[in-house]
This record gives sequence, structure tokens and C-alpha cells, in this order.
Amino acid sequence: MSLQVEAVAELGAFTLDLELTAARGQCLALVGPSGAGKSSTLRVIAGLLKPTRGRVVCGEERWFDSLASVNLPPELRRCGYVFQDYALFPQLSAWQNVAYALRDEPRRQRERTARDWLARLDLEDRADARPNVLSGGERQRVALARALARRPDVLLLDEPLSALDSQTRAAASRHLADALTQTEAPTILVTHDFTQAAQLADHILIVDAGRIVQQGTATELAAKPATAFVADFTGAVVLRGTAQRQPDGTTVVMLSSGEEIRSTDLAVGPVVATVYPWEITIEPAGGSGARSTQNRVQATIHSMTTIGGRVRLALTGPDALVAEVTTTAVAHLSLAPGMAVSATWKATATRLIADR
Amino acid sequence: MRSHRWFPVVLTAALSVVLLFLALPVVAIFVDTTPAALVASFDDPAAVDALVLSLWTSTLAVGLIVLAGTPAAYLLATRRFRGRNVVVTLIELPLVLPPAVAGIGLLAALGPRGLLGGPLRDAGIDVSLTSVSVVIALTFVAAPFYIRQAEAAFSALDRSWLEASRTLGASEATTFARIAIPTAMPGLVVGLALAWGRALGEFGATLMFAGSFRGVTQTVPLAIYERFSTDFTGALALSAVLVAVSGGILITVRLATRRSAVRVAAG
Repeated sequence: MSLQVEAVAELGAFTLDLELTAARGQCLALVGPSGAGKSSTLRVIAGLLKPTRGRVVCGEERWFDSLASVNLPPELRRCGYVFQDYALFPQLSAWQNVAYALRDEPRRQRERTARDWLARLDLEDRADARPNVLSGGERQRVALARALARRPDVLLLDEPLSALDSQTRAAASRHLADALTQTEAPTILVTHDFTQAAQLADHILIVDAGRIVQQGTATELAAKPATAFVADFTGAVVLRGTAQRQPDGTTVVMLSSGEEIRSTDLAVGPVVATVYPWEITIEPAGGSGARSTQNRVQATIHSMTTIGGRVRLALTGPDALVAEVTTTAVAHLSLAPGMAVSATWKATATRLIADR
Repeated sequence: MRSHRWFPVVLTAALSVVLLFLALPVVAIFVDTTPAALVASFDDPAAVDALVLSLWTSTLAVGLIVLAGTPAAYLLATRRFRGRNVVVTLIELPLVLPPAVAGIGLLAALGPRGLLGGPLRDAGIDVSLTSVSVVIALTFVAAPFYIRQAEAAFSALDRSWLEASRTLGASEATTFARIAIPTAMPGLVVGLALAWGRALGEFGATLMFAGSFRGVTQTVPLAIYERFSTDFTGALALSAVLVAVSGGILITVRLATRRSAVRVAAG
């Protein structure tokens, strides 16, 4: 099952005009500012918004084709749609919300199946609760369970983590990553958070004013942003590699560049390592390699941009990095483009997420 | 300090004035009616006939209003189309129409020589001066109260609930029945109560269009009016009965639908 979308739609201020293809099991992220047309793209796929022209093809099924006047209603497109505010039915309990997606099943089995879906997302004890007494994270999981219970051919996630506080978000993100690994359905994830996209998606499309401005893997986009706009969105440094647990309880990640970094997160196998630019400190070139608490990577300053009282450094080397340092540090170390430096950051500041 | 306090005082004073003005006549009806007069009004067959007629005609009218008005209000709330404002204005027009004008209008439309009444009469259907004409008059004046409220209730629903229902495989009809109605239920009940109250109290249009024949078209308000000039005590007692019945219906409707809303949703 794959999904192909070509859509042109008038959205008031601008025209949505984009093409995308998601293969079976692939997760595609649409990243961009609010009002860029990301959610509208999901609505076009689900049949909630009729484009002026274009095609939406899922596997062998044509869901929309302006040339052939095909326009299937939403209920005939098998989409698992997680809405931004989750859109749980307020008068139904958690299991009843999930059972609503099980219209194809005999009535007697629905409750059983719905409870099973909730159990998969660790929500079996909350099955009888109404949405208004569920926490944000629980609501998000009920919405996800409901979307998955539809046995979707396409999974559509509209800002699935943005309504959550930062602590809940980490846990919810893990649940989501697990669910994505298990589903065969091509997935379109809408987010304005590049880090989230990097964690969850295989391929990222940066969308602005209804158009795709750049696409690629998180690493590609972070390393070579085509425009300042894209650069701005790639907030966190994203590194891919293979994780190995150490006897001292830390994790060593062998990056694809050959460099080694450490993290206090636990992970094994392919991982995405992220670090925020403001966690990275710049020191004169040289010094020892990775220690158990401090990562150290050799790099060259490619460019420097002052933002407020801080300076953003684009670093090249075996790995593309972005560091944010104070103007005082720049003056103290006489930093300038072309200079060789060491970028260091703590193992505790390195987040690891399993790479799908 | 004082400058902080005057506004709440004004609010409280305003509410007190409103409450006093609106509640006083209702209280007066009960104060002036002796329990004996109240009981006596049930011995009067004309009063009982009027009460029975009022109850079944208003129930039927409200039933018709809900049946046709709910989907109509849903359409108005969920779709934007050309001429929508004209449609809404036409629906709300009976609200501002003087009841006497409503009665004349109904006569002109459905009376023996009316626009539609003529052909109907030729086909052997004559509604004039029958209980059916009472139901028509009540439906006409009460429908806007329900439809307006229902439209507002449906408009206030989170659109993403309706959309989520569609993406979960439910047709628009199923979404309407399983999601829109249960979630809009509190608003629909308010509309139903308003419409029922308006239908029970209807006077002018009924008098003009259906007349005031005992047991056939004489509803409680018409019976009260008939007594008013000759038997003020009897009129008062019947008024007290009408207030009690209206109040009772409103409370019952609210309680009953609150429970059934929960059941419909869970089913």
C-alpha cells in the first residue's frame, strides 16, 4: 500500500500546491509554520477538503481524481486520522470512542476489540473513563488507538504531540514511535517541530505557504538547508548512528561519520541522537576524544549568525553541527569562519531515540 | 475601594428588578387562586376539555417541529450556501410576526379559499375550524423557537467531532444521529422547551385561524379568555393550572432528555 497525492487547492491567503508519495510503512513528516497548508494536506487526503484539482491514490484505489470526477466521501477512505485536539467524542467513554471505529465488526465483538486496542497503548485501566477526566497524554493515546482500530490504509497525524506538556511528550513520543513501527500503513505526520519530525519520520517535507520548499532526511536537511527558512526549522542537531550499551550504564553511539559520542539515555541498535545547539560548547581545536561524560567532535566553523545576544555557528566536519554560544565566548576565543574548533557537549544532553 | 464595588451592586440591582417584574404576575396568579377554585376548575368539563386539547395539540406540534426542524437546523448549521441568510430570515419571521397576522396569514394560505386551502378543499381535505388547524397554528408560531436554538446548538459543536466521525467510517447520516444529536442535546432540549412553552401559550393565531370551539379548537388560553369577562376567579384558576402544566412539562422534558442523552450516547 502506498499513497500518492497531487493537490491544488485555494486556501484563502495562498494556494496549496504540492505532490507527495509515501511508501508502505514509511513515515513522511510535513513540517512548517502554522497556516502553511500542512493540515489542509491531511484534510485533502482524508476527503474533508476537496481540492480544485489533483489526485489522491491509495494503493490501487483512487480516492480523488479531478480528471475522472472521482471523489470518495471520507467514510470510504480508510484513513486513521489523529486530530490536533484529538476530537474524542465527549459523551463516549474511551473504549466507546475506539469502538466507534469498529463499524465493520459485529456489535458484540466491538467492546472486546476496543479494549484490546487500549491495552496495547497501556490504557486498559482508563477504558471506562470519559475524555474530560483523561489526562492530555491519555487522550492522545485514545485518539491514536481509535485511529489504529480503523485498520487504516493511511495514517494521518496532525500535531499529535503539540497539545502535551514537555514531560508527557517524551512518553507519548515513544508510544507513537512504537505504533509507527508496528503499522504497515504509510503515515503522514504534521508538525511544526523539526526535532519531532526527525525522531518519528523517515523523510521530511518542509512546507511553506502551500508549497514544499525542501525535502530529504532530517540529517540532509540539517546539514544542507536550502534556505534560511529551512535552516530555522532544523532547530536541533540530528545525528544518526548505532548505539551500544556500556558496562558503566551509558550508551556509546557510533555515528555514520565514524565519530563516537556518548549518551546517558539507554538504547541499542540504530538510533537518532539529538542535541540542542545551546548545549554545545566551543573550545580550541584538539583535546582528548570522547570521555564518559563529555562528547567532543572536531569541526570547522562554516558560518556565524548573531541572534540576539547569542551567536549561531554552523559547523562542518565529519558531522554537520549547529552550536549556539554567547558573544562573550566568540570574542574570548576569537572565533571566525574557517577556524578549526572542538565542539563539546555533555552525554546527559544527548537524547537517543530508536531509529526506525 | 468604593469605586470597585459599585458595578456588582448595579448588576445585582438589575437582576432583582428583572426577577421581581417577571415573577410577580406568576406569583400573583397563585396567591389569588384558592385551592378550592383550583380543584373546582377540574370539575368544569369545558376546562378539562381545553386542557386535554392543549396537551395533545401542543405535543403533536412539538413532535412535528422536532422531526422536521432538527435535520433542517443541522443543514443550516453545517453548510454555507447562497441565499442562506434569506432562508434563516424566513424561518425566524414568525418570531416577530404579531399572532393576529400569523392567523390571517394561515387563513390566506390554508383557509377554505386560501392559496393551498382551495386545492386541498377540492381534494376533499378541509382543515379549517378543526383540531388539525390548531396543530398547524401552534407549529407555525413555535417552530422558529426550536429551529433557531437547534441551529445554534449544532453550530457550536466542534467541527472536528463530525469530521472524526466521518474518517472513522460513519456516513453523514450516522454522524448526525450518533454524534451531532447527542452532543447538541442540551441545546436541543432548551429549544424544545421554548417551543413547547410557546405552543401551550399560543392564543392569537389559534383564535384567528382555528376559532374557539369547545372541545375542538378551544385551547386553555382561549378558554381563559372566554372566562375572563364573566368569571375572573375561574380564569385565574385555569391560568394557575396552565402555569403548573407548562412548568411541569419543561422540567420533565429537561430531566427526561438529560437521561436519554446519556443513553443514546452510550448505545
